[in-house]
Amino acid sequence: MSKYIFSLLLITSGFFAQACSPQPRPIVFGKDACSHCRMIISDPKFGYELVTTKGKVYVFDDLNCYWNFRHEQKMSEKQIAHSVVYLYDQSQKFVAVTEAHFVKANAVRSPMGSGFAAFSSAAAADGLQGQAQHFSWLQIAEQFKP
Amino acid sequence: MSRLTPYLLAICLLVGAHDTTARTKHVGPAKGELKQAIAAARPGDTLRLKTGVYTEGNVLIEKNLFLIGAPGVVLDGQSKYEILTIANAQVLVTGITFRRSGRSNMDDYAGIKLLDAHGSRILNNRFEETFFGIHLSNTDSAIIAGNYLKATAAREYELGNGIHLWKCNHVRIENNEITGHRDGIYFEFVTNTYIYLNRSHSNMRYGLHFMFSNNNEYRENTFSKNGAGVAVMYTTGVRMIDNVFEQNWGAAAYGLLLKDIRDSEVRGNKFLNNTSAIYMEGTSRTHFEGNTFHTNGWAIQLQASCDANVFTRNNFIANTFDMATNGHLVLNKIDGNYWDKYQGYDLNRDGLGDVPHYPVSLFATLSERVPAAMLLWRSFLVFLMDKAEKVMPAIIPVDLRDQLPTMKAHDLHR
Repeated sequence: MSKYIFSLLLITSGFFAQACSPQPRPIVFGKDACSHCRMIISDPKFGYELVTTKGKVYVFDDLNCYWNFRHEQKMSEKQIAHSVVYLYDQSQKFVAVTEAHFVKANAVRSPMGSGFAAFSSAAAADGLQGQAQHFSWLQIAEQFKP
Repeated sequence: MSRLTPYLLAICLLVGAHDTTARTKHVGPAKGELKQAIAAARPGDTLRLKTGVYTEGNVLIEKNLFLIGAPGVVLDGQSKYEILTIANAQVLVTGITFRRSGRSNMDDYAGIKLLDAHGSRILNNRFEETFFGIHLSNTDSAIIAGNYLKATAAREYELGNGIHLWKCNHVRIENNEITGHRDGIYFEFVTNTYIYLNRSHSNMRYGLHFMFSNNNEYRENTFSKNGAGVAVMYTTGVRMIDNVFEQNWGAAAYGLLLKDIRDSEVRGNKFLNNTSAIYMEGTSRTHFEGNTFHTNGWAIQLQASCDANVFTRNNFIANTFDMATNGHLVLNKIDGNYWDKYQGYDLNRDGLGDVPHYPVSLFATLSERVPAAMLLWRSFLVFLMDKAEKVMPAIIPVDLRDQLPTMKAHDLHR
């Protein structure tokens, strides 16, 4: 009996631990709607997600939606627990925005026309046709300053 | 006059002589025959395709040609290739079935792709299992009519759009049927285009999807059972007239999603059986007249960011909620509509109710703030609260009202 209670405790504490630290969740492509433009997110090459320190999750289909939402909500860096981005070169994989390598190019047809895509490395973006500008997340933040 | 006659005759003869230089060639499905015929053709020639299945890989046309298929002509992309690419040329394609194009994450493979193919016409073709169906970029004055497009795929990202336009102008899209694609008709940077009599149904995402596309008109189209309805975004000067939006069900599905729209017209449309018939955000100076809203969850979800819109002569019948909004400030004009929920009276018999109608119910406002409250809908308590609120409004936006509600539904038969 005591064993049973103990395991129950373990499981519930596991739940609590999970509930305490907000985590990003995978975007459900084809189902989730962008929190800013309301469009259904369907291209797995693009996708952004904001998780607030309170655990609220917002998803976006393009970089301009992500920033417009942040400016509209006046969301400061302190309120954000996680910012993640889906990689253009690796299907269905997301990383923290600070780890991604951003590229703006004409060859990138992003859902809302920003032309930005995130790559795992600078070399991964070499395959893009035409001119491409490279950015780090800090430079991106500078670009999208209100 | 008589002096001119010989000249006229000469001109006629010259024109006639010029016409005879265009030849007609019959082409069979033997491997390589079509490509050779295209290479050998002179601009203005007609290629008549004989019945059969053509497996030519990608066919590229870069000169003005007429491509006419006999009944039973199939161009098969073997799930590997883009089937037909037309670049820098004016081409007529008719009577051909395009089957199984390649799919790719990086390239938009299509049944037919037109690049700078001004004035081309794509008439009465079939597209079966193509990734994108008809894909136009930088193409003006094209006509896309009478085509049937059908795709199937398990996952949405394995699907392209049915008719996809990017940076086009003066295109006519008429009488096509599109089903099973990602977006039925997709527009980005497209202007002055006319979309008429199309049927776009059971597509995975939107039946019609507009972005940054000004001054287009769509008329008498039917959009039904699409995953998320129709979305019109970041656009000015759209005219939506006499369309039918029906059976678009789901949490993020809207009969018509309007986001950042200005100076547009929504007239004579029918909205039947949608979760939310119109959801509008950031929409201004748009005129809604003569529309029918019948058996929708919400007829209109009007976000506070909308201003200077006019709603008049619309019929609101048997909707769960006629209107919902998320603010108190009302900058829109809502007068002269018919609301079946109106409980006023008409003592002077002028056909207009003598007391205003408040289309936003208490519960619509509450559930806008706390979506989970929907659980209590149709409970006795909610009924009482709604009644109390009608008598002494405290929560609903009182400025949002119809001053001239009609007693009878408007006759909108055309």
